Amino acid sequence: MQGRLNAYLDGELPLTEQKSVEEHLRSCPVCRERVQQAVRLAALLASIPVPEVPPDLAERIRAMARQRRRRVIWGGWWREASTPMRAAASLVLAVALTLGTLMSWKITQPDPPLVAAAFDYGLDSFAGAPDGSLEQAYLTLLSSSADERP
Amino acid sequence: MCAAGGGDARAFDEVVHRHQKPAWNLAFRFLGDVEEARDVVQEAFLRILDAAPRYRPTALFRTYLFRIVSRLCLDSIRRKRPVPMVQVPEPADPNPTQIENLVKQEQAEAVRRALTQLPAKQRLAIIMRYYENCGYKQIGEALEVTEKAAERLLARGRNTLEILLMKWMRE
Repeated sequence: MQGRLNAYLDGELPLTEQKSVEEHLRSCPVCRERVQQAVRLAALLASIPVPEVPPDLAERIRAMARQRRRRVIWGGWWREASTPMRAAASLVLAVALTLGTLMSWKITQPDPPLVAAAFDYGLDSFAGAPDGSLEQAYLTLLSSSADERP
Repeated sequence: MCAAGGGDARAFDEVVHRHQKPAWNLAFRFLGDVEEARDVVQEAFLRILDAAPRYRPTALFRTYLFRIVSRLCLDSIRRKRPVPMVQVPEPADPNPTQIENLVKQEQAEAVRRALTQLPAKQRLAIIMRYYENCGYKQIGEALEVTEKAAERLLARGRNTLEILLMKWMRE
């Protein structure tokens, strides 16, 4: 009866068995007290309030979901790409990085004839002047004049 | 849920909107802490989103949700520090209504304490049964045990609570 009583308390018995348990309860004070205990417990448990769902919870979930989707899009492309595609993408990236590095190196390297001219005429401070500046133009003039000397 | 698995953001928002309350109730009643419950619920929905492309509706979505929340709750208590009990200040000159409120507060605190003393799976089973109206089948699926085991978890949980709350049961 104990097992059936638990199932009865949990609302798990089919109707016919419920009636059979109720019939038993009418004549068994021990089981009746057991059921009453369980009812009192259920009432006690119901007395705990729960705070309302935090109002920003859904928005926080949405925000984190959006971040995750962005990561998944890029990661997903790489995972889904075939090996030749990944190789091609890596090659393009490597070439772009190399060209970029070379171009920036070229820009920052001073033109050798201009460096020589700056040295020859004691105009060291002009050597690092940017392209198109007056100092650069002057050095260009000086270096071309040096080239023309016999 | 299937639409969310196909990348439909609005479908996922709808899933969150519809199911955040039961997820929150389960997490908060189990953990008893607002911040921890919030973290668990957030993580639960993110895991649901990650798994959405593979989701197959073989059972009630709520059961699936409770399974994820339960797992996260169990993980959480393994890392958890004890939560300090809230001290209720004594009023200077209590009137009958205040005394009644204090008694109710004390009762609610006693029930919370009793729940925290249950083994984790019994606690989850009790919460799902008494607060979320879950049956043995749902509880079993959420806790990844058989229906018979769910019945036993409930019976043992009930017995323990009745002993711990005997004082309040007599009143």
